[in-house]
Amino acid sequence: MFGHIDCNNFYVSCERVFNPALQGFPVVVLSNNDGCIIARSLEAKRIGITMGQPRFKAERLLREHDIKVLSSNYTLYGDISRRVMDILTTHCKAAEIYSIDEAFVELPIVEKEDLLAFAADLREKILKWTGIPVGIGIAPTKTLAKVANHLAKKAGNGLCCIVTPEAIEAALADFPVEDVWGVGASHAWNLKRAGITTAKQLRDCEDRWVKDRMTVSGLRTVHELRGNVCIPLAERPEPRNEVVVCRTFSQYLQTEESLLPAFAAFANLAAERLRRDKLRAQEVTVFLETNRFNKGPQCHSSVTLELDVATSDTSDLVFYANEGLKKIFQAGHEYKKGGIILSKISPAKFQQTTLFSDAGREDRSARLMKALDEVNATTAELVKFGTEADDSGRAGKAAYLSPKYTTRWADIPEVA
Amino acid sequence: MAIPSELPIAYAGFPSPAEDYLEQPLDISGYVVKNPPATFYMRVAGDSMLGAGIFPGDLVVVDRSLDAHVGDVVIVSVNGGFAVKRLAISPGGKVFESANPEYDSFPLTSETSVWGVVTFVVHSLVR
Repeated sequence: MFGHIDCNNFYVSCERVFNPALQGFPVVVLSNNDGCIIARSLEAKRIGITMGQPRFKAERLLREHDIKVLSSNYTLYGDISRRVMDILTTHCKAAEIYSIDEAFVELPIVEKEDLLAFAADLREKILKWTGIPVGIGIAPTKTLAKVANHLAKKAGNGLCCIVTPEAIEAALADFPVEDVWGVGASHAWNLKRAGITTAKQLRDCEDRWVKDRMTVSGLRTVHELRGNVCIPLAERPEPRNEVVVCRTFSQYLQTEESLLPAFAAFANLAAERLRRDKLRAQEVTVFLETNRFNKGPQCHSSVTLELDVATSDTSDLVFYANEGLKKIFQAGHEYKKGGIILSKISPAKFQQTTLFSDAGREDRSARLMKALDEVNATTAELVKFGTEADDSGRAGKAAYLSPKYTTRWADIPEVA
Repeated sequence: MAIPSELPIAYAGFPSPAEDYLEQPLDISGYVVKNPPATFYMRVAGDSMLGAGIFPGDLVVVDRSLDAHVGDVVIVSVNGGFAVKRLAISPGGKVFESANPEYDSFPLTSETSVWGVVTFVVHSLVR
């Protein structure tokens, strides 16, 4: 039996744990750069704030209803997420962390009453231990468990268990096909044109028909709707096949000098991620964009550089980021967004070098990176590499950031 | 936070006699944190609990997984903030008491709830 657990309004819920005054009030959380609304409390949803809405578009509603605005505090959300996932991992037979606020679990129980009791207990425990309200859906497959969770949310009680064929049948009967996990907007559109609007109808389609239109992964979804486990729990995350670091600049950048520190910072961050997962990259793509919402000449340029040897060395990647930037930069544009993508990723263990590489440099680089990572792990600010030192212009705005309540001693809550 | 220390396993080419007996150094979080996902830290700002040995500037360790019993020191969510108080019983029901005569107690209601149980207070003797 599978459970799908997801946290209600996760980012807002995290903020409310440490600021109980926010309970019951409309709250929104903004993306990096305070650009878009990426989380809303129930109250804010009811007022009509939509997910992903740019902040400036919601400004009037925000002011009229005195909606509390917060910047995204990923440090906090990541820590709280870890706690919730730890509880799931220790209480369930197996767990798959699907995203920052969602997980699938495997439950050894089979009887419906026991399942409901277990889920209710788990939900209460998570709320008590971490302050985060979650919804739980239980069903024989992951896809059905997501259906169950969706229903739990709609019903408002946060718990839904569909185990018997009758219960599953009833659940799928008027479940919109576009809300089925694995059915995206484009599949849904094609399905609706063929008259398939509910999950039940999709379930009853012929295998051949489904495979032709939705490929084998669509077929798996349909089989899962039928109660056959086709998508197992993935307890270990898939290894990355690329690292992307990109940012929207808080102001337009027009000169190469102003862009250099930004790209050095991107390279530094990307290199850190590689080293954390013990990986190296052999391909670097650098890209720059103007603001696509502006009138005037648009420009999206990119270049991909192949490296002789896969690397995770910050100075190497900063070098290549600079090389790439030089190739694509054109004067006269107002750049609004840029980033780097590292690909051709391989484990650090199995590295081929070229005939011409310098073995001593490898060793020195490894020691320097180890020292860099150790210093970064213990200090609050990342050690900045050479060209990165200048911060202006591309650092994310976060005007409404709450304290890092659980990871910085200076930020822990005060008690009277 | 545990920082694994690396003792030299070989001194000038000879293996260490301690090699098979090495243990991790004592780490206070192992002593003070019984249930990591439910444990949080807070800083004491007032003097309402002096009588309980809790001083301004102290660190308190809060465990949300414990049930609050009468007599426990707890964190209360009240007036949009947090307070550290002792849970007590009065003729009218459960109340939150201070350990300082300057402060009044207040009742447990829907507006005042227990956020977590204080399990340890860390008081620094040097400034």
